[in-house]
Amino acid sequence: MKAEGFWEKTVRHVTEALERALVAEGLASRPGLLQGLDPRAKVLTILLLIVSVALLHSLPLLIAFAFLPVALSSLSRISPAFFLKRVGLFVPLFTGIVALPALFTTPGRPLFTLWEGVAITEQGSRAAFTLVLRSWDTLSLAVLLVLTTRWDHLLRSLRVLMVPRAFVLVLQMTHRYIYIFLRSINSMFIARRSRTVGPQPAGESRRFLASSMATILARSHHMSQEVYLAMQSRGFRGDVMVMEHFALRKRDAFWAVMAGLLAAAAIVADRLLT
Amino acid sequence: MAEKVFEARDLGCTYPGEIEALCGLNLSIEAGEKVAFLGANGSGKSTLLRLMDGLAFPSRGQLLAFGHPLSEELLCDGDFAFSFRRRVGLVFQDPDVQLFSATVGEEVAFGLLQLGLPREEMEDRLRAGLALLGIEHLRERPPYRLSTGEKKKVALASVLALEPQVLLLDEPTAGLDPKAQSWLVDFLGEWHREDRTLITATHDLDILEEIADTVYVLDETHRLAAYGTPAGVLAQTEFLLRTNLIHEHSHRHDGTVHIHPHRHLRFHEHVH
Amino acid sequence: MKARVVPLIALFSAFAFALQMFNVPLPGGTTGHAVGATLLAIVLGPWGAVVGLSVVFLLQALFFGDGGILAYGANVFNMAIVMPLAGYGLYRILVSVFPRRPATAAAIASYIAIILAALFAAMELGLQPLLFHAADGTPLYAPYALKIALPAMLVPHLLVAGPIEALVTGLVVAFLLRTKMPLGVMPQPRPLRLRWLWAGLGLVALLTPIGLLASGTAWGEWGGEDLQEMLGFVPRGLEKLGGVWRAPFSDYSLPGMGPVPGYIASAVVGMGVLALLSFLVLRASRRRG
Repeated sequence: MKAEGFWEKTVRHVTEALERALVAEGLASRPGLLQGLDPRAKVLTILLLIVSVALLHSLPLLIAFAFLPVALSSLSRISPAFFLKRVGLFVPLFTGIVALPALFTTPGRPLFTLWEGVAITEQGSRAAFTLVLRSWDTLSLAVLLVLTTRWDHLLRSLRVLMVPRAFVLVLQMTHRYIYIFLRSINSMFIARRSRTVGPQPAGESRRFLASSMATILARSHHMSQEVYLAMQSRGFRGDVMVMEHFALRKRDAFWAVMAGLLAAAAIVADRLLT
Repeated sequence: MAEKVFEARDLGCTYPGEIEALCGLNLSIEAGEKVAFLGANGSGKSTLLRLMDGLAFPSRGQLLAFGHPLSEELLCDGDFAFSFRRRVGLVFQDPDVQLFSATVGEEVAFGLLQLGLPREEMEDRLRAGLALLGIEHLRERPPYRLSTGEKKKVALASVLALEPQVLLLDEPTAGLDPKAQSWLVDFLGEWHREDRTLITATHDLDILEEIADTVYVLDETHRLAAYGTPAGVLAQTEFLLRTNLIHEHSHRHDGTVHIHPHRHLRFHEHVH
Repeated sequence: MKARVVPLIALFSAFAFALQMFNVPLPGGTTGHAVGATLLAIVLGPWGAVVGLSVVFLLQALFFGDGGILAYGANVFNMAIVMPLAGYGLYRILVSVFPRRPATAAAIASYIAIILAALFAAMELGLQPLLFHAADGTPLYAPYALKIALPAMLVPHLLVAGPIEALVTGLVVAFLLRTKMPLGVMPQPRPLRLRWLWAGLGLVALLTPIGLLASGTAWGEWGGEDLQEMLGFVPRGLEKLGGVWRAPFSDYSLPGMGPVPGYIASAVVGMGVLALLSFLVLRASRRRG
């Protein structure tokens, strides 16, 4: 019973998380700071900031950078509470768990000894903290980018930034299918549950999972071909088109300069501090 | 003489895995015609429409569109593809396949976007396209939240936005209630003009007389079995039975059993 | 890449994405999950799989923080390049030897491929504390030394994620064959051109030392004592765990050399052994058939 519950629960959690994450929430159309920027400039500058965070070694700077996305989000009419909930859930969960053992395994000066041979070290604490912070900083910047940009604008910006056309096309269509896919799996599980009585052995559950995925694959395959034909029928030739015309304005230039200065200052400060 | 829109010469189409869809078709359609392809499910009507829209290609024989034999290479040619996709439009049987954009407005604009028109013109044509089908109020609605009838209207609008000269329809009345069916048939009648060609694939005998002047019947061997005017074809009951377009129906009353060829009309009456 | 194949790639990528969502939490702080890389390579061809998986990881990074932005490059290398290419190559070899068991071949190939990917990941992670640390020894990026990273990555994959991957791959391939779905690449025993396989393996073997060179550290700088200091402090529990997994080259060092050249040598020898085995098996089958 437990094994079955595990898979079903996972499916449900995943579909819920997916719905929250993938479905546009209208945030990209709010009149905020980031929403008003040219998406190409936005992608480039946020990428620049992410790379600078990657290069930072000093802990105080990483902490300082943690406030940047929160500030930007509230300037973009996204409540800090919502934003933190969005990013805050994943990072402590994944990175935190991964980093936890490092407290003990990193050689160095012991801070707090638990028992014979096992102690939380100073180096370990700093390493774990650095890891989690760096993840948080880079991730929240990326999430900010995604929340404040319309998906088709984001795709189009990638094209302008020389990402191969095939890649962007696959990205676009995969994004569309993921949602449908998980929905189907979820309803399959629900349908199955209404047909079975009593607990299922773990192996049975896993086999059902694999075979139901394969069934959805077969069904979706036909549909996917049809959708693509329908797109071709209306003239689609592989380029993501958007109605808006991207044009760089003064505020984009201003933003780019600010971001550039910030990145440079951070790196210089970092070198000086370490 | 009117321009030949489509010409099929011994046209055959086989899907991978040896599944035959069409066999030995010979016909020609001129501009301004109203044509219907009649056939039961599996007779190859959908395949024929896809061949005509350049979405599938012949395994044997030829299909010429506006004098050019359609092939995969030809449709890779940017210029030809560009003009072809504008001149010919296909409304799929399943509207969900055609509704892949985030909102109705975006869906109708999709074809216009591919044309690369200036923004002003696109906006005008979008508004006109929505108004034509009476769906302006649905502009911001996501397509998956529409009724079947509304979905069909959106699908139609998105194809008509390109202002095609040839309209291909795959089972247009499938899934529609009688009122919507009547509406659609009237709409298509109005759309049709001297320079516009209407081609419908259907197994709905009711709409035949209104949407077509010429009927081609495909049988289960994927071949052309008959051709003529709607009235002429409909009169051939035996033949229709054979090609599975009408069914034999038996019912009993007062102790006797009646067996007769039978088809459902909007108003259903038995005369014994 | 032919346009027609695009929706198929997108569809299977969505499938891989869904598959990867089912993480099994594991002791040691990592999660194990099936990847589906070999499956994608079989269905879409190796390069379709590379594109599809890269897309999947990007979507995961952007929308879920899964894997992280900075780890994107490494993830793409391990799971979107090494894994599908290795899995595909192995599959082709196995299926030409056992043409009537494509699903089993796919399962085995996917198992080996995921272990290989885990190995690469472990090596990339395990070297970071060596390469990137502060003056007092604080690791600046990944904090686990090779001695920890290797067993921590490999054991869960050998025991849990690998079997899951093999199971899902085998089942789905069997299903696809049974339903005669028109796939991008039908599993068929065709005579193989091994040249690209050797080239691929050679390239991968090369990349390992290049990664180290790029860090700017000369090999000679690492004295044996420093390393002993850094890698030596391991709680007894983990040591036991590490002991479960023993290789011919224990601690990735050959006698007489420091661990790093030994590590490269091990990698090369490991891959060489694998390739050699595959080649011999293939030769034997050709002689038979």
